[in-house]
Amino acid sequence: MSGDPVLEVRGVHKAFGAREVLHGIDLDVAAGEIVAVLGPSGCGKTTLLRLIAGFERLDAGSIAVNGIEVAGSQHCVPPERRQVGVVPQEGALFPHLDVARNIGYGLHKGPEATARVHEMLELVGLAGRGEQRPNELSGGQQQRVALARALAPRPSLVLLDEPFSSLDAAMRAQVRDEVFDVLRTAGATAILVTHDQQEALSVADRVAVMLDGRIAQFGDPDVLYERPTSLEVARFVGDAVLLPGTLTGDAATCSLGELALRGDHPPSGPVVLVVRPEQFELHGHPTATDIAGLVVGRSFFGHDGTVRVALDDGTMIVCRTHAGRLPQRGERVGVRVGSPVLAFPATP
Amino acid sequence: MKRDRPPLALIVPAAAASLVAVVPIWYLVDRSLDRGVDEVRDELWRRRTLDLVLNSVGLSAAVTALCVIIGVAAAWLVVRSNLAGRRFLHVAFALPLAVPSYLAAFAWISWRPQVAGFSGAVLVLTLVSYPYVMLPVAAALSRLDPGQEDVARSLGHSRLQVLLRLTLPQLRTSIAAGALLVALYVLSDFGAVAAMRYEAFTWVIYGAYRAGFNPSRAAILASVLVLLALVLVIAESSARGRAAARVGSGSPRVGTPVELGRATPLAYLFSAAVLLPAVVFPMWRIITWVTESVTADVQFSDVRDALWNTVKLAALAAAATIVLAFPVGVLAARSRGALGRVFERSTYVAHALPGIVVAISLVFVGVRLLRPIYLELPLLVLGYVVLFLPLAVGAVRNSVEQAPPRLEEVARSLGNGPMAVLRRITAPLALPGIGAGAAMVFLTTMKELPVTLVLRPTGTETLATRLWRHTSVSDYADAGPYALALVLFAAIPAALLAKATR
Repeated sequence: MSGDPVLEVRGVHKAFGAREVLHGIDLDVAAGEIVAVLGPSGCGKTTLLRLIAGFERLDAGSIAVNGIEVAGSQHCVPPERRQVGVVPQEGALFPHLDVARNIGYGLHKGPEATARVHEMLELVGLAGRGEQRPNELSGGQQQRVALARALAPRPSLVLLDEPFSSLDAAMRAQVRDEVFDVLRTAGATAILVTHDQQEALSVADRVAVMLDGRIAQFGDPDVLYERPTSLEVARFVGDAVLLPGTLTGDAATCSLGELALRGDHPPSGPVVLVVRPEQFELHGHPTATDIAGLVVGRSFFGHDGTVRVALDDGTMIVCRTHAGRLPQRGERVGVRVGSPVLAFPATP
Repeated sequence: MKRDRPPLALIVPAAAASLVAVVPIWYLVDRSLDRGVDEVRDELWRRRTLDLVLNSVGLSAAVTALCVIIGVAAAWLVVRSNLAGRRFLHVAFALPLAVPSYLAAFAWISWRPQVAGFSGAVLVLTLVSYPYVMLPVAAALSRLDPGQEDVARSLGHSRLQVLLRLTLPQLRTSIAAGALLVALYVLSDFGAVAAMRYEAFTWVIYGAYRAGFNPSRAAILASVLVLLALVLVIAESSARGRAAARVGSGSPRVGTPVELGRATPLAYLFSAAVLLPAVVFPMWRIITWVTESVTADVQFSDVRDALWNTVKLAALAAAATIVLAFPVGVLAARSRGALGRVFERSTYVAHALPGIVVAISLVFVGVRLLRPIYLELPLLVLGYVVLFLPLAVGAVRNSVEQAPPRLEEVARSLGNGPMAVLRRITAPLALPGIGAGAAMVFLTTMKELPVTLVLRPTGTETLATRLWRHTSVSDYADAGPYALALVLFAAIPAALLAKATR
């Protein structure tokens, strides 16, 4: 953390009718920090965002911005008095206003506002485009205008709701980098809501994994990937092959033989082992004692590739390998696990 | 956006508007009970009352069914087919809006008196009111995602199956809305049924008022009419179902027009069968009258004054109605509470009232409460407001519903309160739709007769009042110039409305 908390969410509950969407959410965001809320669709992450922005009312708990409570069970500060900027999906630019008026919407009219609009246009790389209409801009440009509009009034916090999901894959990474460069340059505090784990892991300082209306784990991206605290987080963050096994002491036995463990692990008994695809090592011409299987599929990505292998006992695994060594479909390969794996208690 | 309570700055004017709209109900209740509850029961139990209900319901059902068929077919032809000249036809199909029902009726009666009765009333009312179905359906058709049709075709559906299983169900909302307008219009129309001597409710109510001997009978009959209208409004909101919102963000594309091929002559035949009796015939009659009137005693200055009064009143009515309809329409579109619905529904009540009942009830209120403006311009404008609020409320609600709520949320997060968002975002986005609503009120006011006749300031003549005075005594030659001026000038907003739905 790099400063005082800008946002403090405490025990927030929210239900729509009989359906409870948020079951006690806690979340802190420090000044200048970019936090990603990562979860599958329907996990309640957009609802959380709308509660922070003030578009919905919470049922229990509290939300404070800059130490001032803006939402509690008793009162609710309207969105216009929260100093929380919003960048929605697809930008939601005002279609009847040009780019400069969109950016200046939240500013009081005057020479300072004009200067600020120019400054923001420069910041998002659209200098000289102020008189264009939103429909004359590409999707990525629209997102940058939406960001400039949200940042112009110097909000305490900016909320980005799946801001890149409407862009095509080729543009996505580029626009994402541009947007987060702008956020970092502006020193803004921001929350990014996304279902794209790669997006969350690559741009955020910290990531909150949200599953089924709860924050399952909140931490640095590498910690989430290397040391997930639950099987659900391990499965959701990064690819994983799950293997049933039995744990005795510090090692576990499964269809891949005896594997070493890392991190905290449960006491002896039945477990689920989590192997990341890059932990597998494949080799040609397996001997009779090697664990082996048949290549049933391969995907080539240029810099590397994945290979699907059906082990002799029927277990299906996905391995990531260097592109130069991709085996052919139908080839027989031996499989080894090169590094310690994660273990979680098997749920009955 | 979910708000716990809409701002007072909206609720107060909306409440005022719905209060204005229910003024006639106050009058009706007061008058109906004049002679006690027994009188009400006796009046309702008469065989004649049942006959009147059946007459009006039968007329309304026949006209509505015909209007739906003609309106949907015409809308599809001008929006989705490759018919040459469909842009011209789109405007031409809307032109009957410029022809007042009583004028169309007199055009027929003066030519072939034997059409009088049920068939004549059906003919005239269908020809003047099918645009109420065609315009909203054409607008909805052009908003549909043509990608859906392509997908359905690729899944093995024929054009006809696509029309029946995909297109028509999505048009349900706009067909239901248009059908409601037509049904209510027919129930409350007075001019055409009077000219056609068809014993509908309105004609009998008018008779009861005019004879003056039994105002409470007229009030009781008018109350039955209000109940019929209420049933229609409820039926429409259940037929409307859940409005199917456009899914996905694909930018709207204009679909490939459907090749008519060998059906082309049929399409032209249909267009001619509608436009000849609906537009060409009344114009021919009016021009005949005008040529006869060269010898008659019509002063040009009288026509000019009447035209000026008509335009002035129509502009005032359109402005006042939109101002009052705006808060009601916004609440109906944006607030999920019961309050918005109550306000909206209350404005629909007056829609089924014959203009004559609205006029008499405003006389009642004017004499009691608004003495200073009685038989002055403001009371007349108020009468138009009561009559045409539903048209304007519907237009405001529809156009506000189409402005994405997300834009309002963003504006709130940028520091604007609800009223500032309304002014800076919602209103500008809804402006084209609201403008179309204003044009509709303007047009309908130009043609309006009973309220104008009863509430106009002494000595004020409009095109409609002049026209009525001459045609009702079969003095068609003198009516000619007024009829021509009315139809020509009403054709302007009618054509604008057709363009707005393109």
